[in-house]
Amino acid sequence: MYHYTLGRLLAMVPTFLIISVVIFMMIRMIPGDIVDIMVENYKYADDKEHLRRELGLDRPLVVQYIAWMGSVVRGDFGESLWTGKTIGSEMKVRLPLTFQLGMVSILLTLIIAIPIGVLAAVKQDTLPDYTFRSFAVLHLSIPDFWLAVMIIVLPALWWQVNVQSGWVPFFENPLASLKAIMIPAIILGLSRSASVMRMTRAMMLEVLRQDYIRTARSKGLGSMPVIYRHALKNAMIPVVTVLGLQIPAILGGSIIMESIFNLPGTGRFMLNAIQERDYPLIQATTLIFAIIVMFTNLLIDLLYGFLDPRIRYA
Amino acid sequence: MTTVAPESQVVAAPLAAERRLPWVLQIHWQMIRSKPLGSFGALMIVLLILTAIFAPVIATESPTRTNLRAMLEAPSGQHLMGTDMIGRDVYSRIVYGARVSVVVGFGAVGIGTVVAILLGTIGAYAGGWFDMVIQRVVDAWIAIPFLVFLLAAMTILKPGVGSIIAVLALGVSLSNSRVVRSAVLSVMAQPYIEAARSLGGTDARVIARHVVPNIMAPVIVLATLGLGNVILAEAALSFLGFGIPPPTAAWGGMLSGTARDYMYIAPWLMIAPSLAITVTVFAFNMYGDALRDLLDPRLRGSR
Repeated sequence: MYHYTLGRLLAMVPTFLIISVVIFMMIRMIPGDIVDIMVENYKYADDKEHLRRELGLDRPLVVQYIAWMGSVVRGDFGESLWTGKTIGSEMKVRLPLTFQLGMVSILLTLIIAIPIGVLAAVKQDTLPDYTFRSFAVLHLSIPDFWLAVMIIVLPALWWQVNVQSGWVPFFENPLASLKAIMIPAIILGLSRSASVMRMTRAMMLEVLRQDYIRTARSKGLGSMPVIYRHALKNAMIPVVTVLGLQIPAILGGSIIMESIFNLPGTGRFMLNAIQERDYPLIQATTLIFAIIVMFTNLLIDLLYGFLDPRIRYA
Repeated sequence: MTTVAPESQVVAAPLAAERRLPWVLQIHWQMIRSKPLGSFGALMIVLLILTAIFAPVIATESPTRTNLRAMLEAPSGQHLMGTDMIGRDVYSRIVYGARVSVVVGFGAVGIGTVVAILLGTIGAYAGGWFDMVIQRVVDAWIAIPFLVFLLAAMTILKPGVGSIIAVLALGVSLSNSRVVRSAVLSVMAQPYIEAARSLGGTDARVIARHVVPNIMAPVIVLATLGLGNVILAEAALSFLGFGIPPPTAAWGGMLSGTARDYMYIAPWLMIAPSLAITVTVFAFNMYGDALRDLLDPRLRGSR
């Protein structure tokens, strides 16, 4: 187990390096230099060369990259070119929101997808099964940004209700904090639950046909324990894999949700950074997103061992 | 990282190249008889393609012609879906928008799938450092949220249909290459590949005549389901203002920017484009699901 985890952590190093190089190069290729924008649109300085030197953008790319990686490894993501604030301090304020939004979305995904997936499998080819499956495919097809806009607009139009509310940190006021992210989290959770539900159903159908389920039934075990203790446990591995694939989608979705619902989280922060060509900021946010995804993937791979004792990593 | 499809899941029925046309017809005949929703999806896709091709005939006006004397008009006989804030006919814009979706969808998925087959097949067949490098790149790719990559890439490239297709195709090729790779690995373990080799088949011949035809079933299913996702991604990009630049009519773009400020007084601006997106993506998903059931029952539900 320790060896496996260590090996997996080591395997993340080349992946991390590839990601960082790709991000670094991609950002530099964005046309419209920040120095140009600063000088021409905002008159931050008169001398472009001087400003460039001050921001450290005159050095060769390789030097810039190594300097950046050096500080990232020490936990320093640099500072915003516009505000001069350290990205670490900005993240401390913004990451909790995105984290909270993501966690609630995933929780909702699980709460919606797994019971419905199990139900659809147990009642295969009946009305509930067809209804839930059609809803799932329909939900895969509705753009979630449109759903978000509608949920803001329609109540305002019909009942003059504003569903948006300001976000406060969770530990200051947990209820207000959850209330602010609830609607975007429901939208994200619903749209992600469709594929997880379909996978749960498919795997349950396969597992319910196995001999050990018949054995469990014939020894007189009730329906519920058979389904939840014997079948679901064995159906979970592919479901967890699909769940892992939803993490990048939820992070991407948080960009859209945060910008529609005016939430001051990492996603909207990143969208602004792209528009303002704030290189260190774009680099840092993209890298942080990628690191989150890499670690959740690792966590999911380790989870396999707990779900199925046959996969214990010797 | 996580494997998208375990090797054992991809077992394709061998199909000979000579019988391809009857085989395609056979599958669709089966679909019409046993999969009503899939057939409905197929019908909608045909309609969509026809709309895209014959857009100038079907549309009642030019999609970009502004008319400041007919702004924000409600749907009527003259303007079937009303007009937008600068007096453009929404119906005509929807019709022309089908072109963008069809071109972007089929373009990105087509190019992406071909590249995915190349990457996956060569990687699995050659193994060694080439495979290793591709796998690490795919790992890195999976770790970057797709939308984040799309946004950054679209900022670099000149906005337009070409760049969107290129960026989405890159995404499709990288994520599908892993499924192709696992399919190739499972096909390569089959005795008929060994037979083809021992009869003196060259690598190129074995790949082209024996490996690729046998991985086509999962690849076609993936591509069909990918079409819906690509169309949704293009809509999201255009919605955020990083996609098809105005005034070109694109469904996602019709929902973005200033249109959102008018939706309180002109809700049809928000409903027509999103309905078009939803029906199209729903059609591709339904058709893809039906295809999967018919071509590759083992893949059922795996998405």
